[in-house]
Amino acid sequence: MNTLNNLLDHRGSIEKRLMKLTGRVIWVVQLNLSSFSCGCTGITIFFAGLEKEDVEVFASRIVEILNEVTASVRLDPDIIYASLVPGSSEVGSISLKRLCDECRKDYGGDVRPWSNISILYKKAC
Amino acid sequence: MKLCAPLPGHLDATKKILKEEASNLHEVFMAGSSDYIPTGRQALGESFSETIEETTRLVHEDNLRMDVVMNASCMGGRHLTDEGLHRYMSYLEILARAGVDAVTLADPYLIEVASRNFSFDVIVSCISFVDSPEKAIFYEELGADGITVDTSINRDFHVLEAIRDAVSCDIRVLVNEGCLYKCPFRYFDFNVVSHTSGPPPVPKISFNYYQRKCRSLRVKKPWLLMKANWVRPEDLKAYEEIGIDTFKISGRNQPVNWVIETIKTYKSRDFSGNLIDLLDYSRSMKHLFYIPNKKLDGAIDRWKSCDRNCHRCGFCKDLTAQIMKVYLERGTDREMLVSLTELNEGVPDEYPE
Ligand code: SF4
Repeated sequence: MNTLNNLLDHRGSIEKRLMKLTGRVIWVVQLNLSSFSCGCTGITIFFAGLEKEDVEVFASRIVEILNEVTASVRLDPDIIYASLVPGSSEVGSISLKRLCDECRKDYGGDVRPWSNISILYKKAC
Repeated sequence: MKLCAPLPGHLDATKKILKEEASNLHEVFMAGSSDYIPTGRQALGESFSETIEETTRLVHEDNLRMDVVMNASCMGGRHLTDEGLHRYMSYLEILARAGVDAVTLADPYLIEVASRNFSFDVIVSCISFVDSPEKAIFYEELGADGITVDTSINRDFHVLEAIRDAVSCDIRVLVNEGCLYKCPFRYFDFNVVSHTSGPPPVPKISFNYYQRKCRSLRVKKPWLLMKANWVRPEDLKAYEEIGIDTFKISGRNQPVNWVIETIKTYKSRDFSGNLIDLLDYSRSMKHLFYIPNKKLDGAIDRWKSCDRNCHRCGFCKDLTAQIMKVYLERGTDREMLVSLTELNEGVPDEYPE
């Protein structure tokens, strides 16, 4: 219950800190606690106004912000990555995930599994 | 003033809207069945023939007009096949039997077919992009009884007056759609929605580029919201002064209570809240931006005479900087509103970056 109560704070806090970081308006449209049928769990944050360049330039700060803000969820993500709207520079979402075995194989290699994702953080295996 | 308002489609909603707002309305509209003809908005439910018949009966009990909207911009050529035309004609016959007073269409061929073969009024959709007297004359000659003008000319009084002068049919202004001025995505998005809201085959799109891009453009350039095609309730009289008094409220996918409140607001011609709350498309942005409607008093005088050369003007951008605010930590104990100027100077908070 505590976690659910904190979700609004997390959403607002991430939005505000990214505005401060980038110096412009960024909209966190939605922040979801997610579970997937493959076995992954995590947090998915949907954005408007965030660009590929932002996540590349500020990758380490964004990871710090996301980890700090979501610490109460005790997720300890294996991976944090941004998903781009395919073929564009638009960041659709950032996912913090604890990976299932199958996805661990996909994300674990040297090559990004899909061309429209930008990996901000990967836990050393 | 003749107000036209949306019905979300289910009978409970129709009854509630009619009970509370019938006396404020001239006409209501709802989507037709997507089994036959797609529409320009994603259909949320099924408008079965029986629902339209029952809705029309209820609407007529309150002495209002009933309009069914089937304004797809693309039908994949189906309407130009023998089988497709037969299907569309049989649906128009169902609507005629249900007693609807008007059908709103976007495709010129269907407009001609409907006006030649049926006695209900045929209204040209804003998706036909009537933005000049010539186009208005074309549609009137095709048989149109009413034209909802392209929303991109909503503030172009010179063109609006010329259209009013050129035709004698009803001219309608869609007041709160909220789409971008001269939206570059408009044709493409309507084409996509025409297919995703219509009969099979329905493409399973994985993302809507146009709507996402539109949203992020507004976040990055908030002044685009100021230049969008909305009309304030207080400014309706400017349209009446040039002979346009039919105003259509957009929002058939919005919740019932919002529809009722928006009818009341336009009827009262007075609104003290966040202008974004009146807009159909992009209403969710009211959780990010705040545009105090009352601070827009008088802006229409500038818009009425501007030449749309925004790159040389800057009025809307300056106005945005002066009055628009951004929510920080919305929905929490720490929620606050800061101006765009304050934001540009640095987010005021306790977080060191
Ligand atoms: S020309 Fe000026 S007043 Fe007119 S829409 Fe552009 S910025 Fe606004």
